[in-house]
Amino acid sequence: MKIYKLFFIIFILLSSCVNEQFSLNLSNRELISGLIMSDYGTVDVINDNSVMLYDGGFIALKKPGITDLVSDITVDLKEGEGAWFAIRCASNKNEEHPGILLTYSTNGVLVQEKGKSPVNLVQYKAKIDEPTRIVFRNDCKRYDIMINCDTVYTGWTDLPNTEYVLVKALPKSKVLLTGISMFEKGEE
Amino acid sequence: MKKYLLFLLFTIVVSSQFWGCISYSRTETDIYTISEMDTTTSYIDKNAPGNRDNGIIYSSSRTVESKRDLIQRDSTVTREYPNFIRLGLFESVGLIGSGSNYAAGMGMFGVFPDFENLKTSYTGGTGKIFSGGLYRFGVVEWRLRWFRDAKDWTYGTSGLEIIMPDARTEYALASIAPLYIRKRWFLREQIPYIAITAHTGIGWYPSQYLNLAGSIDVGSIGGLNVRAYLGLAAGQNPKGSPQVKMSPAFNSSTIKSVTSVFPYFGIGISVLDFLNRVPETYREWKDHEHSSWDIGLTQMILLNSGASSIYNTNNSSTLLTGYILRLANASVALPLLDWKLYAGTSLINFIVLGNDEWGMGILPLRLGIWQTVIMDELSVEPFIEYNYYPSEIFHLGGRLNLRVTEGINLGLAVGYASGSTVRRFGSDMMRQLGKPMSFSRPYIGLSIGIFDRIFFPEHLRYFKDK
Repeated sequence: MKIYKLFFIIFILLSSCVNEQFSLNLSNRELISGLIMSDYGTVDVINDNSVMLYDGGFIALKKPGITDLVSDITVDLKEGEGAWFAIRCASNKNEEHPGILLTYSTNGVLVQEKGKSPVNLVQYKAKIDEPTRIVFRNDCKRYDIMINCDTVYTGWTDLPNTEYVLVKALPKSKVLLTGISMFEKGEE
Repeated sequence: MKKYLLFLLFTIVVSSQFWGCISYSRTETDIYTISEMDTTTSYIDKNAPGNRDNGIIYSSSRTVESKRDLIQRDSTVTREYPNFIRLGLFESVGLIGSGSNYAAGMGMFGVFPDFENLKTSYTGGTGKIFSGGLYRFGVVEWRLRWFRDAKDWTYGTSGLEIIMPDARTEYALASIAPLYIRKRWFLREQIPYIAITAHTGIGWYPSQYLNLAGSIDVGSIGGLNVRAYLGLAAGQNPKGSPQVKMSPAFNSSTIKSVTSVFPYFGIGISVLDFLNRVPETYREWKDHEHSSWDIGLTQMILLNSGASSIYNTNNSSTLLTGYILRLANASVALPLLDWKLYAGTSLINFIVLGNDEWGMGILPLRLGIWQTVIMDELSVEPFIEYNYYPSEIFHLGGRLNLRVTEGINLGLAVGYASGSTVRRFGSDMMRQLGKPMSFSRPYIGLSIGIFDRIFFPEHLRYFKDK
C-alpha cells in the first residue's frame, strides 16, 4: 500500500511545480513575487534573497498590492557591463508599454523615459565585484533614484505607479542581485 | 508515520499553489496607480459697505486661499490564461489485435460496441476487428520542464483509465489517476495540430501496470481529436480487484491474481479534448483562437411531437412528449459559405419523440448553417443529421439560440425525425429502454444548453483579420 501513497505524493508534488515563478523573502514575510521572463538557465534564484542573472537573464519582481513602492536592490556585477532596470511598468507585454528605464553599467548611469531627453550620469559607474545599492523610490508622480545612498536623480512623470521592478542583465553580463527588499513608501 | 503522511497530503492539497496548478485557468493581476494633483485657489474680497476712515494706505480685505489635493486611483488589470497543455473529457480507442479469440467487438474508435454483448458474462468471440478498447475519462496534462526545458514534455493523469485487450474482464487493466509522461513532436504547428506522441504511463489502483505507447494525433479542432496508437501494456490485476471479482472465469475457490500483457494497435477519438501548445498558455483566454460555432457538454430539447408522452403515467395529456439529448457536441466551421457551413457531431445523441418512438446515435453526422442574427446574443442553426448507429435516424431541424451566459443558452427548436429504433440493438437493451419501433414525426420544442458555449464571428479565428 505504501507504493500507492508514494505515487500519489509524487504526483501532487509534481503538479505543484511552476518553475518560472519564484518567491523571495519567504523567511521574513516581506514576500516578493518573481517571474523569470527569459530562457531556462539564464536566471538562478539563490537562497531566499538573491538572484543571479546570466547573459540575457530577465526577471520581474513584484510586491503585490503596493504601488507607491520603494525598491532596494544591491547589485554586484560579476562579469560584463551591467544591468538594466525598469520601473512604472509591468511584466505583461513590457516591451509595448512605456516605463522609466535605468541602465547601470561600466559606462555610468543612463535614465530614460519615452518622450523625454535621456539623462546620462557618467560619474556613477559599475565596477566588477563592487556591490552597489540601488534604490528606486516612487512617490506619486515623483521618483528618486539613489545609488549608494546618494540621490542621483529625481524625476517627475505621468506614468502610473506599478507593483513591479524589472531587471535584466546586459549582454554578456553576469549580475548578482542581493538584499532585495520592496516596501511601501513611508515604511523605510 | 501515517499521520505525517496524512498531514503532508493535507498541507499540499490546501495550499493555494496546488489549487492554482490544477485550475484550468491561471490568473495574473496587476495594479496601476494613477496620481493626480490639483491646486484650487480662492480669492475672496469682503468689502463692507460704506466709507472707510483708514487713510490713504490701508490693508485690503481680500483673502487668498490655496488648497492642494492629491488623488490616487488604483486601476486593477486581471488577465486569465489557460493553465494546461491538454484538458479532455473523454478519450476512446478501439484496439485491434489485442485478443483475437475473445474479441469484445468494441467497434471503430471503441465507441460502437455490440450492445447485445455489453455484459460482464460475455467473454468474447472471434471474427471481430476491434477486440478491445482503451478509455480515459477526464484527461489532463501540464507542461513538464525538465532536460533544460526541453520542448513539449508533459505530465498528466486522467480520472479513470481502462485498457481492455478483449472481453475478459480479468485481463482488463484499470487505474484511477494513472501517472503519464508524454513527449510530442509536432509535424504541423497550426490548428489542427498533427503530432507524434510517446506515452509512458503507470497505473496503480486497482491494477498495477505499465503502458508504453506511441501515437499519431490529429487535433484538437472543436475539442475533437483522432489518434492512432501502437503500444504495449503489461500489468497485474490482484485477486481483490473488481475485474477479477466480476469475472465469470473464477469462483470464490479459484479466484487468483491475473497477469495481463498485450501489445495493441488502435484507432481512437476524443471529445471535448483541448490541446494547447506552450505559447498558447501565455495567450489570454480572450485572445484564443476558436474554430467552432458551438462546443458543449449538454444540449437538451424538451419537445412535443404528438406522440404518446413518456411523461404520461395516467393517460392524461401532457404538453411535452419527449426530448432530444446531445452529449459532448461540436460544430466545426467549414470553409464554405463564408465559414457559416459547419460539420458537427456528438458523442451520444438520444432522440426520444415519445413513448416507444426513440433512438440513439453515436457520433452522428450533422451538417448545418450557422447564422448570427444579433451579435453576442442570437443565432439560428438549420441542420440535417444522420444517426447511423445503433439506431438509424434522419433528422432535419432548426434551432434559434439565445446566449444567456458563456455556458448557458436557451432557444426554440423545430424539426422532423424519421428512423428506426431497432437496428443493431440487443435484447438486453430493449428490455431496459422500451419497445423497438419505427417512427416519423415533426416536433417543436424548447432547447437548453448547459456548459454549451456558442461562438460568434468575433471569436472565430477565420474572422480575426476581417
